[in-house]
Amino acid sequence: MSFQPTSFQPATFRIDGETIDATPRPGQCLRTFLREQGRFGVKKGCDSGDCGACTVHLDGRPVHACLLPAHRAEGREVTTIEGLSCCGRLHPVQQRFLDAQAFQCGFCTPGMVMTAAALDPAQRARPDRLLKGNLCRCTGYRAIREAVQGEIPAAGSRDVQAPGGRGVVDGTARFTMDVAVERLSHIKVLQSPHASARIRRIDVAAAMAVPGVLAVLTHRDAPAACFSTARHENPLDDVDDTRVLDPVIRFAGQRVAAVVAETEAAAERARDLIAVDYEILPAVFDPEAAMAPGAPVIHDKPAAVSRIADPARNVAAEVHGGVGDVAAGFAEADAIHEGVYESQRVSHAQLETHGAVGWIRNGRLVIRTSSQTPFLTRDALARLYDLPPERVRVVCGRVGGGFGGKQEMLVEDLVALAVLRTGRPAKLELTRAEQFTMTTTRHPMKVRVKVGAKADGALTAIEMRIVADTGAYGNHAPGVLFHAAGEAVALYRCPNKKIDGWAVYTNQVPSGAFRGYGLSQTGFAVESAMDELARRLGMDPFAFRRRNVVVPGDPMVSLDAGPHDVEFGSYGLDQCLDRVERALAEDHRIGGAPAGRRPPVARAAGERPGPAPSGAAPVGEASAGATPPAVGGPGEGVSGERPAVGGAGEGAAGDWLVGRGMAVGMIDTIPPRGHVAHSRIALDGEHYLLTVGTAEFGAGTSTVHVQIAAQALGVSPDRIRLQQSDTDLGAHDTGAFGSTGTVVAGQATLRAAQALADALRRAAAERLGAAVEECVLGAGGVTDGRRTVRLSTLAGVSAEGRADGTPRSVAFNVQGFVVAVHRRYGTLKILRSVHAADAGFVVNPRQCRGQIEGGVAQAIGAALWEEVRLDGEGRVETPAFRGYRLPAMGDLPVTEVHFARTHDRLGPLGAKSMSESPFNPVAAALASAIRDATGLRMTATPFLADRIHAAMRARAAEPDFTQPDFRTEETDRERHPAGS
Amino acid sequence: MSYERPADLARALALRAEGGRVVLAGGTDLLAATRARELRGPVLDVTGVAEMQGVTLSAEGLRLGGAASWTAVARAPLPPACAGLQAAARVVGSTQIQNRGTVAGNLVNASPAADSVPPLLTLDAEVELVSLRGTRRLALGAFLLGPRRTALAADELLVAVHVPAAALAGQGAFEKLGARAHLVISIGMAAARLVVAGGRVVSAALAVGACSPVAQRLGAVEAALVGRPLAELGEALDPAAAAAALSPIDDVRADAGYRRAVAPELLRRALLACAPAPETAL
Repeated sequence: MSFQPTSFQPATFRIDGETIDATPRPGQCLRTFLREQGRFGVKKGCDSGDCGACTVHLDGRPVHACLLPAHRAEGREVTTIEGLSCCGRLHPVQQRFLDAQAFQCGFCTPGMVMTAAALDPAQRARPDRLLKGNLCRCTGYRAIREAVQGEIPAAGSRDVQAPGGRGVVDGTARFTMDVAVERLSHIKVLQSPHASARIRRIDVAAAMAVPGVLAVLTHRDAPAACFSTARHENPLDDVDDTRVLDPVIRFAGQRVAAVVAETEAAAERARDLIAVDYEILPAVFDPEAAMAPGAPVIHDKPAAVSRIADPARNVAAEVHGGVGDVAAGFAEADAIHEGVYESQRVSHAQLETHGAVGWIRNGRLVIRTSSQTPFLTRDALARLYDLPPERVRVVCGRVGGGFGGKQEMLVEDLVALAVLRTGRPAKLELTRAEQFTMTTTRHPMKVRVKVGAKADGALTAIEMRIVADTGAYGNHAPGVLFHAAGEAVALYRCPNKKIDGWAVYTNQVPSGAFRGYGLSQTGFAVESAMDELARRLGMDPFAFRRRNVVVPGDPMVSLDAGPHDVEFGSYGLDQCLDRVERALAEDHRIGGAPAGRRPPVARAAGERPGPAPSGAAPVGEASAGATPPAVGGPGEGVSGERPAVGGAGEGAAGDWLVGRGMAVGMIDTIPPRGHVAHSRIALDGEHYLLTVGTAEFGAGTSTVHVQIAAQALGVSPDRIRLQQSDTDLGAHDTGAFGSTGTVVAGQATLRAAQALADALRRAAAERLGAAVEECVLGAGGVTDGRRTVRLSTLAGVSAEGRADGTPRSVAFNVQGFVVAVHRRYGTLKILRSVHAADAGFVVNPRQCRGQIEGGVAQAIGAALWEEVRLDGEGRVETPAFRGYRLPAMGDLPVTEVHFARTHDRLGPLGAKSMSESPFNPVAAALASAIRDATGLRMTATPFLADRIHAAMRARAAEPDFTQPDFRTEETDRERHPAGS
Repeated sequence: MSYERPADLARALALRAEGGRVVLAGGTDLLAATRARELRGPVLDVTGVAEMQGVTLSAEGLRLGGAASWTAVARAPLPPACAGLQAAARVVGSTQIQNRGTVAGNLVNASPAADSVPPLLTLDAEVELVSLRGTRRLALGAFLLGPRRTALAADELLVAVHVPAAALAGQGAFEKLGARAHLVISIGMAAARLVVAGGRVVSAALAVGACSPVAQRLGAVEAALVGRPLAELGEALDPAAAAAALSPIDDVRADAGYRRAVAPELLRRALLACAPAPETAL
């Protein structure tokens, strides 16, 4: 029996040059209609016209397919990404996106290309405003802008193109939901409107009566067992506090029930007919209040079973540690700074929402999902539903962005339940609003930092108190808290350290793994505090860092003195500091900055070193950055305002305050406590077939794996074929998180490829009767110098490699900014963004640069604009991109990227991780630049214009806005720099 | 039939009079607001109605058809008085939104942050409301009753927006302040239209949006500008009077205090942008 739409309007459509007779539903949008016609290149990012991923051409003009009724396309020419290329040849814009590697996860690419393809050459030259309707979360837009403009830097020898890149630009790449499954049913979730409640009764009779409904699942259908949605190699690292469906509601947005139906519409109708009788319970929204005596207990579960640290106090996890005696350390300090720094809730905002499709095949449960951890998700599903692991297969398509959010099992459990219950294939694809209200965010943290130093700059004590808000569930709470207490403090050589931290339950949307894994929040606190302390001592921030950061030979200490498996496999922090310092000193490049005159950038004499000596040797590889952003570049929110122009008699020169800031980050290259990867590589005719378990979600690890294998096997990268992210292929892999795609899985690939190279040489040596040492493996085969054994005659040889993620090294990032703050609006403009990274040997510089740019971009969003806001009742007030401000192309500066020249003795080919860490120093560097410009220390992100403005108003002696004079003594000094 | 896209006004009005249909123009607000990603229930799509097309200038003034898109408004050759309206058309939403969204829809949607409203207020715009009962014209200020509330009757369609010829004099301008450079809902915005003769202000029209439940004209502030020499324009604007006329609220985009502080500054910039100002060149 199949469920039929109630109304018919047969119509004729022209789609990509084909004529199609079809019957859209009356109010159906063009996006879902096109996808029903198999045009999977049309993506869903938001369904509200904010992200542009669904952009198609209607009679040649770009429109949002999600906002256009399908009926209105009748008789018009509809072109999708898959119809843009012609006769096997890419459209020129597609070709440029491919050449420029103007994508990472690639989910936004079809929409980007469609918008760009409709521009005329003059428009393409200045795309920022015209592409404001297309959001990209991965790249930071620099490569996209270059692709649109057609000004593509030449690729270097190691800038190998991403495998599958052509599919990304021509729209044929298949992401999670881009499959047509027969007899597919659809899941819709009823979410709780209450933050804290108990379900007294659920009446599903009316919902079941809706035609097409197959099942309504409630807590009565769900396994009784608790699990953690967080995924780690060792499941005991996480707290088991979550059920698939739970009669106790702990946050507004939590799943209450799920409808499985023949169509999405039927599922939605039925969902709205489920009657729930809630007993409203007291809720708590503030972590400090949640820890106080008498607070409602959110998880009344035994600690021994759940591994919740202290259920009665709502403490999911806690850490306490340190070395030395901080009281003694502060007693001997000549200067002390203490401050409380708050980081807000931000969304990963991967353009591909969470979603999974499941079915049963040959008696096995198959889940196709958008995950960073297919193997761990397979294991979790097997445990949850009491299935042997070999009866569960988890496979990924191309994953449209992760950022940590997909190191969780947030939809797969429910899809599995639906499939197991109905026997039917089932799909759950979250809407953007559900993504905001039902998945996870970064942990909001309140971090109190106290730091002390001697007059010569030497740190004497660091004390940190972390309160992390894990929300209603403790997914990743222990890991994030542990990591937050780690490298931000371990970066500094200091005899006395004390750290206390709590991850606390509240009745709010759960926090989870997020790029940086706690370090962006504590890094903001510690680096801001270090900047203040340096100022107090009259020291330049770079000099202060050089005085205090760890160098090889120093122990890396935070919670304890070790022993640890973290070593200085290489060290390039010194190079990074030098490079950013030199870049920020080049003030001529921002000459004519906002005020239309030479900006007051230099600090008082003696506080800031002059420009680097002209004879200084260049450090690191050639700058990967293009020219710095033009003056009047992005970041300013006043339409049409040209900063250089002052209105009549307005004294515009005084409108912009300019300042500089920097911050440092250190990160362990691999997460602790085990991270396993296996790779297998086999000779397959003239090609090698490489199988890796790790997932690719835009970080570019696929390319790196291909390059590593190619190098070890002495062939060009196009001879390597890659298959990945499928539990039926290859052996166990912990997954792609903690920046491990290159350093752990890449290590396994290197070992597999080297083992295969050895095996091939041995086999050939035997056949040739030569010594193995004489035999050289190359593109044509194995040769002993005289004779060659062709590869095709060695077919079937294969080898495996394994890496277990220890010992670990450290990677470094230094970020510098020059900003201008508008005195009347409080708006902020980034005049210059410079980032130096110590990534070890950089396997693919173009990709790694993209990772860094994207990380900085995402962090700028989190530092300046983004915030998942909750109302007083714990409900998300910003469930759409219209209210949650993702940076667009015109909002972001071009970040100049520099690499330190190092070679790691632990990483594969000398490489280190570089995917999360560029995010971490950004907020503190911006805050310190704002401090430099205005004299104000912003202690809570995001630094929205009204908050900067409010701080300026509060500080100004004369509150009358029309007579603004926020010049402090300090900034007055800056206006007349000595020696200039 | 649940989806109707009539070609003429008579048919559209007949369908409208039947009731029960959601009126759809660009769909950029309506479809974005649906949780179900599609419109439930019967639809009256007015974008095919011949009488609602086009952006036309005549002796009577300017007429924006109810189905005219932002892109059509931005690209039309209009007099300098409309510069603010055209600037708003270029900053509202994205390229894709501008291609589909309509000015009339922006008015009917009646968001306090609607970008079209302040410039249209400075142009003394009227809306033409038509039903089977007849046609009426309302000043825009009378049409907008509050957040998401208008004077549109259940059987009426907003067929066109009119700007009288007299209001096409002078120079217009628009200033918008959002959290970022592009694609943001306004924290605050201001529009101005200035008529100048002999170096002095003949008349001024000022409006502020997103700083009160409905965008509004600032009559007292305007009156104080009349007769003032251009050179004094910046000082002639009384920020206290401007701020006093507003009633901003705290919302997710900014707090009220910030809006009250920046609105006069936005107005001043809009005003200065209207002035012929060779002396501002650096």
